[in-house]
Order: sequence, then C-alpha cells, then structure tokens
Amino acid sequence: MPTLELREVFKKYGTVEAVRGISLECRDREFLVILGPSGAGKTSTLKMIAGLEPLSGGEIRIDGRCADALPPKDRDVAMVFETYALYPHLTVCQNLAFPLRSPAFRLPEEQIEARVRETARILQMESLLHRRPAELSGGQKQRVSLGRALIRCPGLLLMDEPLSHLDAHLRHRMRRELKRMQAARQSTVVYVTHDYLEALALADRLVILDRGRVRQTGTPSEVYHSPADTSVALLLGHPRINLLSARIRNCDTDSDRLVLESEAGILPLPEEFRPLLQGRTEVVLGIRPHHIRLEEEASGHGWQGRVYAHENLGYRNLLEIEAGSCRLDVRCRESNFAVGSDTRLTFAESRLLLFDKNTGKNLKA
Amino acid sequence: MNPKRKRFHRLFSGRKAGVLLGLCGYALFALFPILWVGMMSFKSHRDIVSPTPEILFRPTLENYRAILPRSQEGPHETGRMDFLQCFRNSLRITLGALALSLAVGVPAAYVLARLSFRGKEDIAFLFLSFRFAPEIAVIIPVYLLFKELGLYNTYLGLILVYQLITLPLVVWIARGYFEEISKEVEQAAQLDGYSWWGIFTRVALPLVKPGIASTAVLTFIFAWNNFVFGLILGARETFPGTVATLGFISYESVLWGQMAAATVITILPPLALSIFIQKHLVRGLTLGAVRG
Repeated sequence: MPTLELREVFKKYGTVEAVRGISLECRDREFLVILGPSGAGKTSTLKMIAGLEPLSGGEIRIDGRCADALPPKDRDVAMVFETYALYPHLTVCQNLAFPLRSPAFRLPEEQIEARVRETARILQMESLLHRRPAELSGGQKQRVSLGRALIRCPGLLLMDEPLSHLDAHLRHRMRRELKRMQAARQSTVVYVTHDYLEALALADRLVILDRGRVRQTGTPSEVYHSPADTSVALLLGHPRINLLSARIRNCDTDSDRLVLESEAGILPLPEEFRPLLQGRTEVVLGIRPHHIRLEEEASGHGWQGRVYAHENLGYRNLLEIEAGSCRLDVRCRESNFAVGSDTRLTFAESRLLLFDKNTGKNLKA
Repeated sequence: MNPKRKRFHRLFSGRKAGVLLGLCGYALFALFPILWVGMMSFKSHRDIVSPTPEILFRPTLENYRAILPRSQEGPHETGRMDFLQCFRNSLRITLGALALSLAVGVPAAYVLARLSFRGKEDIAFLFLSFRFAPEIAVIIPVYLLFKELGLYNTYLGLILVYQLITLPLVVWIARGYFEEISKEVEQAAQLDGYSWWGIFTRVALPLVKPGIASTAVLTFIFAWNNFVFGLILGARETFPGTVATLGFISYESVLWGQMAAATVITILPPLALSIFIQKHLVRGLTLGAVRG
C-alpha cells in the first residue's frame, strides 16, 4: 500500500487560484479526510492526485516517487466520483468489469467474472448486475461506482464526496460500511467531503482546507477540540460555534480577577487563561452550543438571556438565546424553556476557546 | 377536464390559434410546389400543357414507366440520360461522401470537443467556413483544378467535393454531442486504464452513437440535394439524380411529366429519412447552436 505526499501544490484555472500551496501527507493504510467548504479546492486536489489535472506548481509523490509525469492509469489509483461517473451504455456487470478489461489489466474472462461476482457479493448488488445505470437508484449507483473502484484493488483509493447525493439514512449506513471496508481491506484512502460529521466519523486524520490553503491537520478530536482558527471552528459542529468579540479587563494586574467583556455579558475567566492574554486588549471568544448551560433561577453568575427560538428535536433541544446585543446558539437536553422566557447562561469554562482578533488564530494552539 | 381536451383548448386559445393559422399558411406556401410537381408526375403530357390546368385529371403512370427501365425495350431511349443510373450515382456519391466525412469528421469533432490546444476554435471555425461562400462562387476554380488533376467526371472527385457540404455538418453537430458527455465519465475511463483512443472507441463513441446516426441522416439529405457540383464537375456517366432532371429538357420539347416523376423519385429517400428521424433531426440541428 503506497504513501502519498503533496508538496506545495498549486492549481490555477486561468487567473483563479483554486489551490494555493497545499502540503499534506497520507500514511500507509490511512483514512485521510480532506474537509472544507465548497470552493476550498478539495476536488481539484483530488484530481491532481489522480493525475486528471496537471499541477500548476509543486510536486506529488506516490510511494516516495515523483508522480508528475505519470498518467492516471499508471498511478495505481482508483477514484469514486461525486457524480458516480458510471458508463451509461454498459450494464452494472460491464461497468464493474471495465477496468479489468483495460489494456492495463487485461485479465482472462473467467477471472474477470469471478472478481465481478465477488465484488457484487460484498456490495450486495448481485441482483443488479444486468441493469443499466439509468435503472438504478442513487444508493445503488453509489455502490456500483464504489465497486468499480474497489475491483482493481487499487493501492490508493480517492473518493470525492461519494455520499453527498444520498438521503440521510443511507448516508449514515454507507458511512459505516465504508469505514468497515477500509479497515478490512487495509487500503489507503483519501476522502473529500464538506460534511463535518462524515469527516469526523471516517477519518484517521483530517486535513481542513479553506480557500485553497491547509488550515489544520490532525485527528478528529484534535481538530474538534482545539481548532487552529475560527474558520476551522466554524466548520466543525452544528449548530456552529458561537463567536463573540470581547475586551479583556484586568489582564496585567495580578490582583484582580481576569474578566472578558463581550456584547453578551461579562465573563470572569479562570486564571489559566492569563498567560495567553498578556498584552492583548481584544479577543474573539468561541463557545460551542453544547458548552452552554441554561439555568432557571434568575439570580447567580453568568449572562442574562431571553429565549428567542426553540426547536425540540426529541433527544435534544436547539435554542437561540438573546443575550445583550447578540444571539447565541445553545444545545441542551432539557426542554422547559418557552420562547420569550428569561434564562441565565453559564459555561463550561475549561472548554472556552479564544482566538486572535485579527488573524483568527487559536491562542492556545 | 381530461388532458386531451385541455390540450385542445391550449392549442386553440387566442394567440396560439393565430400562430397555428400562420404556420398552416406557411406550410401551404412551402409545400405547394412539391404538391404541384407530385400532381404533374401523374398527368399525361396533354393535361400538363393544357392552358387550363385542372385539379381533377385522369392519373397515369406513363411518366414513371418512361423513366424506369422496361424489360423489352432496354433501360432508356437513345439520346436521353438514364435516370436510374443517375439515381445510383447519387447514392454512390452521397454515401461515399458521408462515409468519408464520418471517418474524418467524428474523430475531429471529438478532439475539438475534448482536447484543449492553441488555435482549436480557429480550426473548428475553418471547418464551418467551408459553407460561407455559395458553391457557385468556388465552382470555376474547382473545375479547373479537377480538370488538371483528372478528377473531373469521376466518383472520387465528386465525393471529395461533396465534403464541402458534409464535413462541416458532421464536425459541428458531432462536436455538440461529444461535449454533452460528462467529463467525469471519461476521467473514470482514464483511471480505469484506458488511453485516449480506448476512451474514444469504448466510451465516447458508443455514447454518441444515436447522435451520430441522426447527424449522418441529416448530412445525407444535405448532400443528396446538391445540384451545382454534379452539374459542373460531373458528366453523363457521373451525374447525380438532381442533375438528371435537367435531361428531360431537349431541343424539341420539355418532357414535364417525366421530369416531375424523376423529381418525385429523387425526393423520396430524403423524405423517408426525415420522417424516420424527425425527432432526432431537430435535436441535431439545434444542439450545436444552443449549448452554453
């Protein structure tokens, strides 16, 4: 199984810079997920790895060798496309056999047949073998396109948002199947998605892209709990993290308590934050919706707020709370807050995130 | 309201009715000459030249009998062109030109649709420019050239010159079809281990086959109806059917009836083909034009 390395890769389409110097590394048998909003350069990156798009700069190394001159078919790479890209004129069976019949493989027919049957069995589509793509549902097409990629046992498997056109239930099921399959086959996978849940659920490691640059690389819990900057923090989690600009008081006088003054209220900070804030006057405060608690008693510490909107999802509640001049997203279990009622917000203080006012960088990172 | 009545109402309501009436009027105007020729082909010579033409006449097949070979008398009267031979010439030249255009034009269309290289649009435009000047404007130099090269009055020569009609059509229409194929399908084939030739023959061509078929029919019709090339660059042995109709004009008389019969027979193949592929034809014609 090969490793993959990108060094300062650039991609320009005319004057538009889609990818601006991406460096990343994918280890042997790793499930690497590239996560980013649309337009971040994810698909361009994947197509460059596959050899379908030429690089505008930088270098891609597969298994330690420079792959720039290699055509796609010589890279030992298979790809699952977002649009599935099945051959419309061929049956499922012929679609699966297509890579094995190529000049690059040219297997004898009986071996091809055996491999097709085996792949169809694993993906549970034996009954579909004689249909054409037009006669398949989205989930079935997705399985065929996955099967067509897996049938060659490629060293490196690239997936471009393979689940994005499936409904939520099927997406979740396929997500688990993918993870199981990758573990069983021990293949190296680079997986592109804009869905943070998919990314966290599947990844051994995540690479977060935004506007053509790598924002952060790390394991799911690393990027979730200590995002490198506000853009990463906003990308992970739903509802999105609350970001408030805040002024710092009493940072340089040791005697008084350290206090943040935000549009929503005043927040005393634990002492451990003091060294981070030396020499600053303003920061961006990040609070995840589930790190906010709603209290019923009006008196006590915390911020005063009023319920602006309330959605009861059964197993949890999503609320929007008006506090001061801003609104905060809150996620909690209890549901006894009616719209318009007063509440008090307290925080899991150790989970608070602080970002630089100008650069958006996480102060702890 | 049931859907049929609804359609009826939509068709005949207000402005739609006006449009429909206009179209009917135009159809009558456009088709009248064909109707006239069709009628003439079944008239006796006396009925045709009568100063008071009648709608009701005694139909006769004598015109058709005269131009089609009769078993005892041989294929044609002496001194007149053999119409059937010309009809066969038409088939030979048109199909030859079509085959050559497809063989050259379809791969060219694929390249113009898929690869990017300098001057691509210029080359595509060059193909189209074949059709800018009227044929009559280039026919004299082509005639001299053909005389010199020994292509005058040969099937090969006519097939080559018919390319001016067929090749631009094939290239531009087929290009539209190729551009419609999803790029990712071809990229998938690239990753599956195929060279560009393999992708062309095993993915792209099968996908555009229906399109190519209708392009072929359309092209056939355009080429079939050509008159000037055959008239100037051919001679008695290689005249196509369209030119053959002229042969019914002689010093002493014009054989209107036989000319009409020959015209009707010449119209038949394109007419049959158009009816057969009507639906695809419209698509083929508009495809190249409307793509974004």
